[in-house]
Amino acid sequence: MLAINADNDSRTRIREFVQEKNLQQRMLVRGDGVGFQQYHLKRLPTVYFIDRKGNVVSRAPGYQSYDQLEKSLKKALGR
Amino acid sequence: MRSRPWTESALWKPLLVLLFLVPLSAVSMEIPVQEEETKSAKAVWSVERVRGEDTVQYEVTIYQIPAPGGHRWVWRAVASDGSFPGGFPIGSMLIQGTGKPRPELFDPLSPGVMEMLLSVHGAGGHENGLGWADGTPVGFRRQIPVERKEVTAADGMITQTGILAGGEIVVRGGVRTLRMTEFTEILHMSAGGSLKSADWVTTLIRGEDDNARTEKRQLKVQRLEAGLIDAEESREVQSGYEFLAPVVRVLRKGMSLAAVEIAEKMFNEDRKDHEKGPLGDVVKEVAGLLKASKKVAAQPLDPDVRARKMIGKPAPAFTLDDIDGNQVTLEDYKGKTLLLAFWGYS
Repeated sequence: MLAINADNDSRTRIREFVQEKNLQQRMLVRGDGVGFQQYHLKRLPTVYFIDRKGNVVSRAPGYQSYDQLEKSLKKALGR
Repeated sequence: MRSRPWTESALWKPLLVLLFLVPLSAVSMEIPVQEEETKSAKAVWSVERVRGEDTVQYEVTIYQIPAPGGHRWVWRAVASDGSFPGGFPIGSMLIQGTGKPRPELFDPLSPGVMEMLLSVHGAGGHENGLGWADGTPVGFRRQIPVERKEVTAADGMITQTGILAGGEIVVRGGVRTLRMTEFTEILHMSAGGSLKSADWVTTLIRGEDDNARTEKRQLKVQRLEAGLIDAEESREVQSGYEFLAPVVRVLRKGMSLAAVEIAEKMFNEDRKDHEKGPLGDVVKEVAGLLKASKKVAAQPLDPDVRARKMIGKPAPAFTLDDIDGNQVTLEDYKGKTLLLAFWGYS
């Protein structure tokens, strides 16, 4: 899992957030260009699921419940 | 300047016509007085801007050309990674008479470049003892109390330093306190008083006690070259700017496909005249931006509609830095199921 900051927040602020929430995933910064131009974001947060072949399986805009995320993840895993 | 709101009132129109006539008459009739009054100059500065952990380096070329009521600075800035601070390769600001620049007349471009331009414009001319320094270079548009000293070296170079008076000031009180514990302004000037280099440093402390965290901000500028330019080059900068400004305005506002196409048509008609001028590089860069902008404008407006087309197709490749500065590409995760979570802090 990759977390991509698409709001151009400063590194200091992101670090704080990571610490506060004790996040473990890799945190990428300055993803606004990639996010809005290549991945067509409409709002944040948005999650993309990509399968082993590198194809986009689904897109989940907005806040998601744990169940919804699990369902989408299973689909991406091909189960 | 033509599309600014205050120009739309009828009152200004006769005046505008006048303003355009003045330079024309100066050219055709060669009035020497006009030539002397309008000093055109060019300066190149290297800039380093630090905000906490983020550092940006860029070079900015400033042309000073005559403009109604004062002069105009036309600048182009290119960052060390080839990108444009502010997103566009050209910008301008109007400086009224000899006073401070008027913020309401700025093109709302990169705050970084603006801070640099304002700093250079406002630096120097201070007296020894207690005084005030402009906080703009480190991102505060307000005056900061400083203690000043001036030292003249044997070679005539003047060094002016201003150090935060009283040791600490509270920038913002309340729940989210912000204190400034350090502010230093160091200006190096030639004997004639022209700014050669400058360094502004500040240390800020946000929050209190256990939650307090420190942030350093710095702006370092160094003049690489400066000199007068002749009337011919000045006119070329002026006409180049007038040619590029409306096109950049369209690009900046992200207008519809029709608007971009009109801008492109206008641009292509006259671009040959400006490609060899002093702003020739900018013309080429704007051509590239127009092309990219046209591609974007041709897509459906709703991102959801565009995103729907992505499903089932290979994910677009990207390379980004992680928080520790290591490069990460989509390729790194080949053969793995991946979850991309785009998020923002708000």
